[in-house]
Amino acid sequence: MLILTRKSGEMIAIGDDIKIYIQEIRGNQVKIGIKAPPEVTVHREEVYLRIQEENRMAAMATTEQMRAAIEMLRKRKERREQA
Amino acid sequence: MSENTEKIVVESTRFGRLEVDADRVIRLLGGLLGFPNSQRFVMLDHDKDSPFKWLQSLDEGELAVPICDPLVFFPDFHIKIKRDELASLRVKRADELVILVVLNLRTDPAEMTANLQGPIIVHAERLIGRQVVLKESPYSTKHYLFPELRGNIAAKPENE
Repeated sequence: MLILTRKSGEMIAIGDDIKIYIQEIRGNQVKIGIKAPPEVTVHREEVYLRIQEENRMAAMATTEQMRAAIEMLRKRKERREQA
Repeated sequence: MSENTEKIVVESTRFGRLEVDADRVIRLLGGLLGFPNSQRFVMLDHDKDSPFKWLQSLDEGELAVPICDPLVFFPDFHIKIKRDELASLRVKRADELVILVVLNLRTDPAEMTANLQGPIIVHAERLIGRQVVLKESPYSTKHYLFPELRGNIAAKPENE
């Protein structure tokens, strides 16, 4: 991993299209501006990791669980029709 | 369907050997998050009358996630998608867009959830999509599908 030291107001360029600006440093927080082309998605790590994790759990689904979910939805529909 | 339509063959863990016509392939730019090696998918019915579907990877046979139209469970669901993200799929009008959410199924239906914070958006005709990460959103990665089964005060009883 490349490690660089930057001061507030300085910039890092990655390739031709991606620029990272260090906008402000205050205590242990850094405000970062990222300029990237639309095909590059930029995520705050924690939200991104949560969604990755959710996908990994979703991928463990079995066909039995799918059947149970379908059945539950069917029952709910019946209850609503009766109500 | 012409006979010489190109087919993609995948040995899937759940459904055995699948032969998928090339024109049914959904391409997810950047893959399904957490699975960068899977970019090509097909949507499979489990039961054709059910809104639940499988999104089966054509690149990794063992990878399939349950998905559905979020409006079935969350009629008020609405999201703001950035212009850049729409542009990367070449979506110009809202009716060109299909929105799906990934479901986390469990043995106990009371524990089943939908991830409303990471919806999959797909261009309905071009079948090119991506999973978006909603940052400023009221939604989370876990919304119960069947809150009525959770038996707490928050869940509204339906038959009373």
